[in-house]
Amino acid sequence: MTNEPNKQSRYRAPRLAIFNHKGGVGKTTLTVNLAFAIAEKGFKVLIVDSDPQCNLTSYLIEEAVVDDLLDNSDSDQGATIWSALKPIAEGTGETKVIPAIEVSTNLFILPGDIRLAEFESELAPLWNECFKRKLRGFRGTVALSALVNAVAEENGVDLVLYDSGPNIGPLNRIILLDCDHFIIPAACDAFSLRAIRTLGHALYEWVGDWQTIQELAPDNVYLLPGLPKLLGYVPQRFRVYASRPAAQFASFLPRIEKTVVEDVITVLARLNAVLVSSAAHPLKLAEIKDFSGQATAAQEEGVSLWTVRSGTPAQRADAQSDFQAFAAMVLRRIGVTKQ
Amino acid sequence: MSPKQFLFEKRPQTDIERVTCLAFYATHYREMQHFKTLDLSKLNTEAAQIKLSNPNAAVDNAAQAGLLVQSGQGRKQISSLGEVYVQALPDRIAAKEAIAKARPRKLRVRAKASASKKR
Repeated sequence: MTNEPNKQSRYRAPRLAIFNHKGGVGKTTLTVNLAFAIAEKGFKVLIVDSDPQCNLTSYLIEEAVVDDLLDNSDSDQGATIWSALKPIAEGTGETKVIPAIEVSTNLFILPGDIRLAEFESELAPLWNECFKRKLRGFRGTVALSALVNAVAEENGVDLVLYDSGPNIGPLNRIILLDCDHFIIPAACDAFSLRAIRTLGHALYEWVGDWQTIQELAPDNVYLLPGLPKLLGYVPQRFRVYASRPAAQFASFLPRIEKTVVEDVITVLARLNAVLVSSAAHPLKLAEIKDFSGQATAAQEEGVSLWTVRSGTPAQRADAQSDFQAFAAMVLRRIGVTKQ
Repeated sequence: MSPKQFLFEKRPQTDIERVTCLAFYATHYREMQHFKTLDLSKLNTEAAQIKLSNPNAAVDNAAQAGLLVQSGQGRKQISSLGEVYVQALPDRIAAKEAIAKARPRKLRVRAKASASKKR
């Protein structure tokens, strides 16, 4: 494949990141179940496991197969994201297109790899080279986007979902800048509130820096869009009592919304109003309660929270209605419709 | 034929049936007479199936049911019983009948018969 920046065009499928740099807020569980719900509606979804911990890959693929993928990712037959990006990271060539793995009907995955951390360490100098207008910098910075273009086009994908790792690093920076939209998952605790406060400011810097790079970029160079629009937030992992969030969690719900408005929407709007143009009312896209044992069983079985064998029929029905409503709202807001 | 199409046609309902179908596919479409559990797991992934909840247990149980047999060095192969079973699928009644015909009579039945002779 060639990912010559000036020869690449962006594939039509919108890209959505579930992003919060705090760990344990339920990013992977939210991503995978949202993907299942959208796939059930008949849309083809590509999940990009861009977290070096590759939890999402091991959620959907058997452990022994994941181990095998990781053991062979350095070889010519490698089939993880690292296998594709290795030539860029090592400066030996172009991105190698790898096949996406179809994990169920309409659902594809680009398998993650622990060695993505090596690619991430290369991204910092590549980013600096963009400021120096060096083509190598642009080629490296857009490599993941170019890979997603090729894989999404090959499979006729309707939507791309990025699962990100819990940090504010160079890898998450290029993921967010490659996305058309992003959603903030938030746990109902004080640490999560704190993370949202810093998230808005990190995004402000990334988008601002990329605007400078775009201005410096040579003509006809393929660039990341650099305008991730906030869709909304999703409070998660709260216990329920009498069909409502339990008191100790309920108090956080209005505080999460207030923090998103003050520290994300207000900050991003200062930079560019387009960044918050999709954040319509209601800002809260869904409320996803703590499914605890059901979530663990779903990870083991590699299925959605509503097709897992564990839990009661009522719990499964709850999960299904929550995620189907969430998926419908996401599709409506990003404008994905059946052709 | 892809493993996905093959499983779609055979419609296995349990993990034991699925690994037996995959073993049949490996034998006849991939020319893998002998395989490890990992080979079946890889085929399962290629077939876009949900994860086998415990691939080793599924393979062991299929072996215990006589659908797979040991072939040395930790490998397995499909048994003639397994072949008959998969060929009859997706007709489950026919598959059960085929397996009942092909399966050797149980020792327990013989023991009962010899006891009644003594009486």
